[in-house]
Amino acid sequence: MQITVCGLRGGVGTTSIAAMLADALNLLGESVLLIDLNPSDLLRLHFNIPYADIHGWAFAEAEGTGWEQQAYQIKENLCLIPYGRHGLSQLYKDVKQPDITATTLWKVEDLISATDYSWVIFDIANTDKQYASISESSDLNLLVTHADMASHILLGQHYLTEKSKIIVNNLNIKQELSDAVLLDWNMRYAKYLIPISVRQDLHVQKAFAHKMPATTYFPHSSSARDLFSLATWCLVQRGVLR
Amino acid sequence: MTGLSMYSNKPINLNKKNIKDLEPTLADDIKSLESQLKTSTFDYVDIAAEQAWEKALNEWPLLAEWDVWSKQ
Repeated sequence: MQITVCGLRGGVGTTSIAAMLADALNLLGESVLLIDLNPSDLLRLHFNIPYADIHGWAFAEAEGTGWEQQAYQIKENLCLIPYGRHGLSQLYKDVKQPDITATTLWKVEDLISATDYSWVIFDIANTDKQYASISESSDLNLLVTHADMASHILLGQHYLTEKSKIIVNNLNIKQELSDAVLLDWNMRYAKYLIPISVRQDLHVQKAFAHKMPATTYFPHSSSARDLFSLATWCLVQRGVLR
Repeated sequence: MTGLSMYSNKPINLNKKNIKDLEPTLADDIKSLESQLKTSTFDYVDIAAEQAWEKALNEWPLLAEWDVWSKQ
């Protein structure tokens, strides 16, 4: 199964969701390969990789050495390929901008057969067309949103496909406006809306400050429980799609 | 008399008739209403949600504006 995790806009917690989903699936016994396509290169910091470490696929592409040697074994059956520190290339002008060819290699059949992982999860920064081929070759395209007005308007402008699945992150269950937006989405986007929301929970940020996903560091927190529900939903989708 | 001895511990014979007697009656409102109305279909309207939606449209102008635009 291949999944893209993409933010409808910036700051909705896309990378946290990708990290926790990969971790939750792994804790449920699945083998997972997690690939960061976001130039901010934050995903690796959810998995205790030193900040000073510059390795990653885009960095390797810029160096001309290939992405295959850039993977980190986080724990048994959980592997991460960071973006790599080319994001600072504006500061260090001698570092070449990567010619992003690796992404064309990342088609689900090739990658899964080459790596033997049951799940491949891509963290995609935004809805740019740059990674359209990866979204197309994936089984599910998770679209991370907040239940707020900006997301409501942006979602109306977003092209949803059969594979698009909307996940509401950071839900404040006491907020009336969120209720109103979700009421609309339940009517308008019923078949795209994942029936699980991730509740607002400071444990996500605290776990990140400890360089771990909340699913491992605070497994009994509300966000971790929601992510285990989301991982279980993904397992069910695999059964449905097969 | 202890609490436990208040219950009869005699085995019962769960034949088909007895099982039928155990089927839910009062608890299944929709089913009993369907049988009362002698119809197999039942259009369920969530009145509470409709009221909440109307309230939201009155309260949030952008929600209402975009809703109208999206339905044109």
